[in-house]
Amino acid sequence: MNHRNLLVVLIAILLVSTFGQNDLTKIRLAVHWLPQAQFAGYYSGIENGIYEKYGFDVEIIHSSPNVTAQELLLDEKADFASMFLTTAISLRSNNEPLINVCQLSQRSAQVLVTRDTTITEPEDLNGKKIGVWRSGFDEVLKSFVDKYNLDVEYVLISSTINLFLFGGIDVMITMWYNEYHSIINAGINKDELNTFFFADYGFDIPEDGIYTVENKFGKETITKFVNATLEAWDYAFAHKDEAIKLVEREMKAKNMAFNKPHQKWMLDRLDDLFNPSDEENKPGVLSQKDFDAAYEVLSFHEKINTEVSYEEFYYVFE
Amino acid sequence: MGPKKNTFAFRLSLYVVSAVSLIALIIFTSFYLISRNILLDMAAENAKNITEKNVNKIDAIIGKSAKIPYNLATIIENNRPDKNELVQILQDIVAKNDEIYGSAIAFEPFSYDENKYFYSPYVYKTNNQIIVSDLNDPDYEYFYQDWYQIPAHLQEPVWSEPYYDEGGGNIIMTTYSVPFYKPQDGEKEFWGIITIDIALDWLDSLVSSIDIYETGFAFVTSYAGTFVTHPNNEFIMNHTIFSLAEEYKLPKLREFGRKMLEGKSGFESLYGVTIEETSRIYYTPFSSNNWSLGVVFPESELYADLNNLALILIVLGIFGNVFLIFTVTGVSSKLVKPLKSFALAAREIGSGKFDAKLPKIESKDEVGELNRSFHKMQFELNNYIENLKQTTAEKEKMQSELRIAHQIQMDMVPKIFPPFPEREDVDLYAFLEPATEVGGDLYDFFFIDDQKLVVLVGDVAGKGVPASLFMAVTRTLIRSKMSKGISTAKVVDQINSDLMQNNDSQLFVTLLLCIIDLKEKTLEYTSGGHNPAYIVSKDGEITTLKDRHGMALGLFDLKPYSSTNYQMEQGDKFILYTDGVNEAMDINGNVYDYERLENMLDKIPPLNAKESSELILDDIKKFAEGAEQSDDITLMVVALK
Repeated sequence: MNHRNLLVVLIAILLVSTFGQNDLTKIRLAVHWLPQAQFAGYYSGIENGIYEKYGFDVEIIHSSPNVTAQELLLDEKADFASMFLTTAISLRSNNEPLINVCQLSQRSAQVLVTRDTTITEPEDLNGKKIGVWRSGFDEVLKSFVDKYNLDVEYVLISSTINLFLFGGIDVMITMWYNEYHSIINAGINKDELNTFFFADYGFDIPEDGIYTVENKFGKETITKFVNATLEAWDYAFAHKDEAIKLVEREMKAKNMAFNKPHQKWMLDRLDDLFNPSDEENKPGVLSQKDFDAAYEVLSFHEKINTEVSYEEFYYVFE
Repeated sequence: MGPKKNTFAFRLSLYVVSAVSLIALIIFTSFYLISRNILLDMAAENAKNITEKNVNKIDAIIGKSAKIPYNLATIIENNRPDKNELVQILQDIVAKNDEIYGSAIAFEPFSYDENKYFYSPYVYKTNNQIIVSDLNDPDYEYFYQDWYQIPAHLQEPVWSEPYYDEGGGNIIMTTYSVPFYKPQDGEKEFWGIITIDIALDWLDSLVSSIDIYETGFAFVTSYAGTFVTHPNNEFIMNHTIFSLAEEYKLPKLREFGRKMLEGKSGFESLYGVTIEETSRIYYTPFSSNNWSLGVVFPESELYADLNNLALILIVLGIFGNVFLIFTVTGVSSKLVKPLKSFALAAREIGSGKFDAKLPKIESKDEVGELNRSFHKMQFELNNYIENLKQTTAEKEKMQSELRIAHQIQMDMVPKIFPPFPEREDVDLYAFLEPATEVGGDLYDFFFIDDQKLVVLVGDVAGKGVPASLFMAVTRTLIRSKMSKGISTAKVVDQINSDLMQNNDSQLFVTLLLCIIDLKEKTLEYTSGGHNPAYIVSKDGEITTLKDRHGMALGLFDLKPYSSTNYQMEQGDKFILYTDGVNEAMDINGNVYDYERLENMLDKIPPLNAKESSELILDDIKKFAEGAEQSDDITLMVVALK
């Protein structure tokens, strides 16, 4: 390196350290589960300087079976949080000041799985033990159970599929991109599983979206953050191997079991859910239709305390 | 140098080596396949023994640990120890058992201390210290941890899937959980779970200590196929055998992973993932839990004996073949070498050098036999050639003598034509074509006075020298007997008598003897068994002189010959011939015959004697058309002018 280049580099470092950092807005993003490919977009956004480009210094806070993302957001331990649409509408109707700023997932990924081959129709679930997550995400399941007037026993589980594998429960709610594939990779063949995708039973309610608290950020900040996030996800889907490496790093830091094919499967499925080929809306948009569907499920379960309108719930970014 | 392609030695070695190689290949292949099966069985048996020995060893160690929570359960169920005693017991367990990293007694909510939702003393080791703690962190909520929830649900002991224990030891471990019960009014009520934690490090070092040949190794998979131990520590807890199958695209791995989960034993081949070369894996379940031990054997090591055998067979096969090629080529070259000498000798003999030197061979085999035959052939050939030379010389001599006899015979018949150029009343032409060198036909003509012309044609039975001698005798007799005023009958009688004397060879001659008075134009003739002659007038009228006056001369003296007189006209042609004319044959055996001869006679009135003779001779030659002449042909034409 010659002297002129060295000088340029030194000036650049000086500029970044003196002005650059000062300009960045610090953002704490709570994501609604432990590290996995479900959050690969955010890791990519940070790692590849996408958030920085938009003027953000993003820190990711992972929730756990014991601490949820919404708690982190509402307790002001996070500035933005990812969560399920139904969870968010339910909270909003309880007068929590949440707003949806970006609806990433456009499709439902929830699927009931059973190894009991006699269970082929929803009615067959009557009297069965269904494993559900202790941390929630169960509104759609309960609507499904109500729709078919099922009498089932819910067994709360924390985060693994082991109770299901050991035969402690008959049925388990899974995410298509996660636990479903873990079950396959525990040696159970697809044809040995009967599945009920909620989307096939009139509950195609999308899940992952990004939320913040009303009036916390200006329009400009929200729009920039959402655009940065969408760009980050696009990058992750375009560079999956690279994104998986970041996921591996995050998971190993938390001493979690990491295996590449599983995380790859998850990222591929998220790509399907975020960018469905038949989607009319552009990525990140929450449609009135999806909102209404989720709202209806919640109303049916009397999870709506006060009315929530689409307009007040969804912050349209540009 | 090897033999050339088209040599006997080359072909022999080609056939023999091909046949022997084929047989050797079949034998070696069969031997190899049979041995292979035996060795494969032995290797499989060996792999099974190694795996089962180790499964039993690990089982024994795990089984010993597994008894601890059972014993503890009995103590708690019967004695209900107080809090201090519980901790003391746990401390003892952790302190006294190296393999146990930690141990807990987790009670159901409010069941031990009615004020406490969580009650679970937990003792574990860290940095050689024994730490006492309580799993009462509300965030941890042990009721929902797999180690508690699964055995509680199933109401049976469970070995947990490998997990990273964040709350307690901060290591990767597996927990063995045993439910225990509170006796209550004669009934047993579920009270909680006793656990022992086993660090996978410890288990891994136990499994790693197993030596599997040079580079083989063992691993343990859990109930769900998760790696509990593996030389590649990255796999432990992170991977299941199925996620590896997916990552490395090995459906077969998934298939036998499922068999491992089902608690089956098996011996499968595997390529890739954990080992660079093709390997075999033997798997068998533990009896103390539903885990499985897999042992990976690199095929090169497992089948070392088999590979050595194959190598030996290949080397033997190659050396054997090379040896065979040299031997067969050498032997056949040696055997065939004399044949080359024979070939040379035969060529020399063929070119006429009958004394060519033959190879010296003493052997008693086929080549020796051939040698003897060659010698005999050479000897016989020499003899034969010698004979041939002699015979040829004799034949040459005879031929030359025959040629001389022919010359003499031809000299006996007059050959100067026209014979009487000074006479204007007669024209005469004759010819004699002998069939062989020396013929038996004769003709003659001479004047006995100024106006009487004697003409005669004869045919001695047989040909060659005897016939010609007989003919010479006959001619001489006629010339000597013929005198002025004697009749033809008288002459024939005398000749017949003379010929009969000393005729031991039983030869005979047909004879037509005529005297033509040129002035009176009268013809007197006597035929001794001869063909009829013709008179052709100048108008073309043909008269056949059919009269015969006796048999051929030289055999019998039965009665005197007579004669016939015939009045000729001016311009008549008198045609005499032997049976060589009318019996001339073509190549198909057809005879010339009288009819064709008479047709020719029609054409002769305008011609002179020579032209008439040549016309008939040409026609006969035309008829015969190259067929070999079977008999002497004699024709005479006497034209009266």
